[in-house]
Amino acid sequence: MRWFRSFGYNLTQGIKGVFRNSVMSTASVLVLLSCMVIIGTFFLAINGIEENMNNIGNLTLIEVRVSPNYTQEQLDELEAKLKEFCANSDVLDDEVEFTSGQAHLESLMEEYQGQAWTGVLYELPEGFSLRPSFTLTFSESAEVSKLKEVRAQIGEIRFSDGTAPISDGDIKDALSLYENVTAVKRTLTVVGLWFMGILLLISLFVIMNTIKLGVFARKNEIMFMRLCGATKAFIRTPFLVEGAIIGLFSAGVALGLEYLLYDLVLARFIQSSTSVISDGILLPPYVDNLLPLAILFGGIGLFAGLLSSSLSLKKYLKV
Amino acid sequence: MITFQNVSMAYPDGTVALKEINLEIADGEFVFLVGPSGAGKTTLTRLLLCEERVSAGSLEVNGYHLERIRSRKIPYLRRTMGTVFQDFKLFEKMTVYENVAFAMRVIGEKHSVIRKRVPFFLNVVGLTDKAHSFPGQLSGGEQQRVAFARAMVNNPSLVIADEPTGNIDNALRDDILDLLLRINKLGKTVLVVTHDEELLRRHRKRTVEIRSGEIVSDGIGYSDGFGLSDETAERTGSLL
Repeated sequence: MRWFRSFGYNLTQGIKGVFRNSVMSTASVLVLLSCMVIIGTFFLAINGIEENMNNIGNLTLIEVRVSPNYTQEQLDELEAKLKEFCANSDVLDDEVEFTSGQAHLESLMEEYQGQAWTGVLYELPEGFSLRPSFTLTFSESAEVSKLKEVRAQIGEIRFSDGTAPISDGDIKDALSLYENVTAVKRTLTVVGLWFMGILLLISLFVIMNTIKLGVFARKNEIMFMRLCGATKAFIRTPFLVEGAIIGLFSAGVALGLEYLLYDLVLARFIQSSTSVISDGILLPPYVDNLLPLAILFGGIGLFAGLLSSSLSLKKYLKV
Repeated sequence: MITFQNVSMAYPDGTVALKEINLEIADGEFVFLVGPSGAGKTTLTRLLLCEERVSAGSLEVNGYHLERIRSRKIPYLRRTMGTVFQDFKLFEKMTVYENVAFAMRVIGEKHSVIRKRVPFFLNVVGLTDKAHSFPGQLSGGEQQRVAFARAMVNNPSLVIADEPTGNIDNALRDDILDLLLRINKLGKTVLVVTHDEELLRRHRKRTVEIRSGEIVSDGIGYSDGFGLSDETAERTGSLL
C-alpha cells in the first residue's frame, strides 16, 4: 500500500516537474530526440546492409569449381584436403559443402525455368555436366586481408601425386564486394558511435540543467523534506521520474519520427536512385526494426534521463 | 534526551565553531539557547539535526548516537524532531492545511492519518478557520502558528524553534511563547534559539548561553546583556 502511495506521489511530482520548466523540458526532449533519430538512422542503415548481405547470401562464401573429369577418388581426396585446410584456418568454418555438376545443372534449370533460352539445357548431350564445386564459408568478422591470404593458400593445395587440382580461376568469391560492404558498415558504426557519444553528452548536459532548475526551484522544499525526515529515495525519486519521463517521451516521439523518415525519405531515396548499388536492394519493413529500435531508444532515454537526474541531485542531498 | 559530551566541531576551513561542549537536556525540558551572532548557536542546532557531524566528543539525541550514526538512519532521527524556522519556510503555493499535511506526506504517512491529525493540530494552534487560506493571506503571527503546527504534526519528542519571535510583532511574542509552553506541557522537549532579551526577561526558564563556541552559563533565568544571574552562576558553578 505504501509502495502504491509513493508511486502515485512520485509519478505526480515527476509529471509536475516536467511542466514546471516546460521550456527546458522541451529543449531536453528536442536534443534527446535528435540524438535518437541520428543514432536510429545509423542503426537502420547498418541493419539494412546486413539484411541485404543475408539476402545475397554468398558474400561470405568461397566456391572452388573443379574439373568435371575428376574421378570420385580425386574428388574425395580434394574434399579431405579442403576439410583439413578449413580445420587449420581460424577464419573458415569447418564445413565444406560439395555440389555435383549435375546438381548445378538442375539448379540452373530450376532458377531460369520458363525462360526461352533454357530449351538449350534440355538438348545437351548425355553425360554433359557442369563443373562440381566445393563451398567454403568464412565468418562475417573475418578480415579481408586474411581472407585474401586464405584464397591464395587454397590454390597451393596439391593432390598426393603433386598435381594442382585448383587454379586461381577456379576460385570464385565476392571478396571485393564483401570488403566494400564491410568498410561501409564499419564507417557507419564508427560515425554512429561518435555521434551517439557527442549527442548523448549534449543531451545529458541539457537534461541536467533542466532537472537542476527544478531542484533549484524546490530548494526550500527539499531542505524542509530532509529536516522532516524524508529519506533520500523519497526526495530523489520524483526527479528521477522526471528524467525518465523526458527520456521515454523522447524515445516515443523518436520512434514515430524515425518511421516517417524511414518510410518517406530513405525508402524513396533508394527507390529513385539510379546507381548500380540500389539495384535489387530491399529494405526490411519498419515493423521488423520496431522492437530493437524501441529497446535502443528506450535504453538511451532512460540512461540519459536517470543519469542526468542523479548527477543534478547530488549537491542537494548531502547529509 | 540530549547529551553533549566534550563535543567539538570544526568546519573544513579550520574554523572552530564549538569547543568541548558539555550539556544535558532531559526529556520534557524547556530550554532557551542564547548568545551573540557567531557564538555557535546555529552550529549546535545543526549538530542536533545532523546537518553537520561532530568533530570530536559524543552527542546523543533521542537515543541516536550522532557521532557514529549511519546516513540511512538520519531521516529517522529527524522524525523525532520538529523544527520551526525564523522565516517560517511555509510553501506559498500550498494552503495552510497542505503545508501541515506535507510534513506527514514526506515521511509516507497514510492519508487517513493525515486527515485526522492535521485538523487536530490546526485546532491546537487556533487556525481551523484558516485551513484553506494560503500563507500570503495570513499575518506573521498566524504564519508562525502554521509553522508550529507543521513542526508538531509528526509527534516529535523534541521541538527546535529558531528565533521564533524574530519576525513577529512584540504583541504576538507572548502568544508564541504561550504556544511553546503548551507544546512543552504535552511532554515535548523544547529548545528555543533566540536573541530576544525581552522574551528571556519575562519568562524564567533554563537558559544556556553560548559564546565563541563555549557554554559560558547554564541556569534558570536571565540577566541583562547575556550575563549571569545569581541562579545561573550557581548552576554553572555546579556544572564546572
